[in-house]
Amino acid sequence: MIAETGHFALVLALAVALVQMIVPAYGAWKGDHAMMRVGKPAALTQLMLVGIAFLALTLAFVVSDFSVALVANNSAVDKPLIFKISGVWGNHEGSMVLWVLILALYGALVALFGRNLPDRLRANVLAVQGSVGVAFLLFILATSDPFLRLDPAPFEGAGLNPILQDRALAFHPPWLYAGYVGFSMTFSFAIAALMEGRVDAAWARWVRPWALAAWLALTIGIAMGSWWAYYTLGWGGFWFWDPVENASLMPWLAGTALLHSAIVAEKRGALKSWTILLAILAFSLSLVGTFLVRSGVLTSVHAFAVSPARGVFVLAILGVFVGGSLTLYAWRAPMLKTGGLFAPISREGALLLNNLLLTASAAAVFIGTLYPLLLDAVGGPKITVGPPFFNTTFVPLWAPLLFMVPFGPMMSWKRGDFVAAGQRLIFAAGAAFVVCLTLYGVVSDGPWLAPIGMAAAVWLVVGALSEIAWRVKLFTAPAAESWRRARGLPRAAWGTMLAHGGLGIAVAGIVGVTAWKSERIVALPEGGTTSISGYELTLEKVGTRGGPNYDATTGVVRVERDGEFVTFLLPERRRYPTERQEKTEPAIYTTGFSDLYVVLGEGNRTGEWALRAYVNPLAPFIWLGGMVMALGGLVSLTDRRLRVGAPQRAKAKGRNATAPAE
Amino acid sequence: MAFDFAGMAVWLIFAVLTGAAIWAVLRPLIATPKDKPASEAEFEVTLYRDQLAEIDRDLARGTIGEAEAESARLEVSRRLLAADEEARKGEPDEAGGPGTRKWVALGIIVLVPLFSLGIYLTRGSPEIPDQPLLARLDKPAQELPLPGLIAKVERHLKQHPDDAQGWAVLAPAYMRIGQADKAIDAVSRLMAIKGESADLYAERGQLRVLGARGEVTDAAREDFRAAVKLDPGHPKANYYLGLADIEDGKKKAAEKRWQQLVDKAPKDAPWLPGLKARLAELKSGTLNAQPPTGAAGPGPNAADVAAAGQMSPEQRQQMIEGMVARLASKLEDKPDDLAGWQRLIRAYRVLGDDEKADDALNKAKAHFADNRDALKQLDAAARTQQPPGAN
Repeated sequence: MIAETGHFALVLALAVALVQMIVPAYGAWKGDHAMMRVGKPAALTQLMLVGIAFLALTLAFVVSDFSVALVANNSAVDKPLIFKISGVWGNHEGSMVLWVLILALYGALVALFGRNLPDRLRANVLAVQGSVGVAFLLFILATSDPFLRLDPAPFEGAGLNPILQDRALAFHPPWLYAGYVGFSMTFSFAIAALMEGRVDAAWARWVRPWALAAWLALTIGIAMGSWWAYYTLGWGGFWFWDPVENASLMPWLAGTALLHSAIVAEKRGALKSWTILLAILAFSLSLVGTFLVRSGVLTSVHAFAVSPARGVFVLAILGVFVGGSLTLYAWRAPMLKTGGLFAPISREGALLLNNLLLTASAAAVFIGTLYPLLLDAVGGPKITVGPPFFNTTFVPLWAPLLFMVPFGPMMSWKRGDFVAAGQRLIFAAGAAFVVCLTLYGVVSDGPWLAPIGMAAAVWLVVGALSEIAWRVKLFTAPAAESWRRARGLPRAAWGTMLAHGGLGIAVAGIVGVTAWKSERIVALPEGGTTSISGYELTLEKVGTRGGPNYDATTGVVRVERDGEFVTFLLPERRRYPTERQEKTEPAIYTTGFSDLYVVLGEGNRTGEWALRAYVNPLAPFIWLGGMVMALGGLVSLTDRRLRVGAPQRAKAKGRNATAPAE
Repeated sequence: MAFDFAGMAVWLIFAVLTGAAIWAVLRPLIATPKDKPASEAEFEVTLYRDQLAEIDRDLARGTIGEAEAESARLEVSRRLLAADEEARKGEPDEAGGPGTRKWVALGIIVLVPLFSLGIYLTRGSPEIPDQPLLARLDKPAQELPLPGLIAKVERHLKQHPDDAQGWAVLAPAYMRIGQADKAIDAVSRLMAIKGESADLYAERGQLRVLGARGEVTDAAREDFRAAVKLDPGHPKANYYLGLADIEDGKKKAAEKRWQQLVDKAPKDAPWLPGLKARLAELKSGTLNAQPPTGAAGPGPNAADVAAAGQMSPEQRQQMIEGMVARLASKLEDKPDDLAGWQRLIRAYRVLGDDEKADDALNKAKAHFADNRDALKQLDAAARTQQPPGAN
């Protein structure tokens, strides 16, 4: 009964999505406000219905109702509760339901908080959002129905891939999807603007919070994914340039560009058409990501050709939305009014440069990811585009980008002064220079570029702090005056500082791990000792222990430094009998500045165990930086500027009158 | 039959959901219009005022120069004036009108339920109840099918791993669903609890042989040897050790071993006639090294059925279709088999292949044209329905 209710709710959600797609748009076209207003209850109803479906599916997983085929194929009775829940989206069908749930959530948020949007714009936005919902609900029901039943039901499920039975990965997809789907919001705004044929500063201001929300969710999602890869895959790498990762990086790059160009569109009314294009691109790249991951094209182009229903369907969705929106853009964009003028050396100019570099790097990832697939699809040779390609294309694009980041916020709108901005950054430049020289003097190993990378990191962090220091006249004005100014700074300025500083922290981590990682692989008997970067590791014992749904071989490793006890590490190899798979569980000791990372390998016949140990300097900074960036997005999102008031008329005394933003 | 509350409840829930959704979506269409909504121009006026205030704030912070702020103010003011003028003009009145709205509302009321029900009925299974695993396992053991029984015993053993009875039940159950590994493991657990015995060694050895499709593997031999060590005359162990000898080409040794077994056997041992027969076959050289694995008839043997338990639904379907095809070709050669025809017709019906079922029915009727009883039985077979939920 519960499962069938979920199934019916999903079907009904499709019907309501159709209403949401058609009626408000028709009303906006005809100028009928009653029909336009249908968008709001339709969006809320859709959230309720998809929510019911999602809850029903979750419940089926929690109580192990194996009469639901999806549960039987992807769950098991003995799995811990948290992985029963995360198992809902640990498979194709369930993850698509989560996708649509988040889509409905964004739609409902516009419906609820969109009171300050003009009726027509809101109706069109919700209609476009509804059309995305229609496409994906159709996709689910036609090719990936999560509620198909089994009768008779089996008594045990096939379990969940052990790699997915992990806390970070369990909550990585919801963040990632919140990011992907968030860009559907800016996409809807872009299409609505093109339909109306007008983009004004107001439009850009309404778009920005959605772009920020999507960007911040995607940042968290990517950071979590890379953290998971770091501690699960067992060799301490954090980014692999693997197509699944690239799929999330492309919309992030486009979204970062969108975030910055939307500022220009909002503040100065310039770059409007470009902002619209970026909004379309960011969502298109999210769809490409979904397509890459969901169509099976990544496992093999040929697997895709063998059972093409899903792949062709996603490809069709991609074609309709990307092709349709770009066509609409080509047709309507020339009609848009151009906005304010600005000099090349200005904040607008800096943001434009940022946009060009970010889009170029997104294009590089796009080519590197899709070219091998295309080549394979047309019968060409099988090639892999690996880290060397991405390193040689990314570094030249990102080096000037990182150099320019601190300059942007230092420039004035319309006409800036490059030299003056440079003078304000003199302290940051000095700090970077000192760090660079010191590292050349102190560190003898590692590539020669590494100290320059660290200098860039220092430049970013100190540069971000310098901007705030300059704004509040720190040390040049009395402390009380600085304090007053600091409180007067808009939250967006603090957000900028956190995001740019966070980027610097992440750069430090990436450089540190890449350049100065040390590694030791040994075979040790119980009681054997090895050392790495000043740590003494003793494999005291190897034993077995039982987990809730696995058996583990656990090594007890005693860690000492300079003869002092530091900690015990317990790396494991786990066997999952239901799933018939194994996974390694590394153990990590972190000082906050570097990680000691230990992996237990196979045992051999002479009673020795393979033990791999890594010291990853600055590794925690990578994810710390990511989280600081996301925090910047969050702080910026709370800026009062983004809460535009609804118009108040002297004659309107209705209860709907809202307080203005100021 | 009792009134099916759960069955009714599903439809009631669907109706409530549909009704609530339609009501929510319709409200704006049927509500009496409130005061006229603010026009777009009025929204813009609000925004531009806000922007002017912001330029002042930016100036105070120094993010914009004095001269630039002045020109930015001019830009925004110009837009503000234009928007204000627009706002004064006001918007044209609503064009849709109540007529169009009525049609839209009617469309929603009719199409949403039709559409939802139409799609749901092609995909949903409203007749299947929820089946949470723990509730299913709560049933008494004898009401559960074999996999359910196994799951129940497994759960019990997880709590009480020292319950010998449980492992003793599991071992043959695993074997019947074709999971030799687990069956062998179950006997090992049993041995760990009850201590080693010749019977258990022999039992485990036998499971190893069955798991290896009749081959007496090294591991199996070790078990049988261990059994013989504890009980030199153990019949099962000695029988299999004989088979092992035959596999190794040592027919004389096997003959000797089996002969001893026959000599020492109690006269009423149930396995004695079988063993004697095999011994005779061995002596005459007609012995097939592989022991028979089940019923020797034309139908599926035990191994086939066990294998079917592990197959995916597609594979199972394929196996069934293969067996039906075999039956059909046999009947072409020997059409006198009335029971065979009935089986074939039923099988086609169950598989949902009505055309072939009718075809087979006509062929059979033609063959038994002058046998009234046979015709009746054939018609009865033809009335078999496809089971609900098949395919």
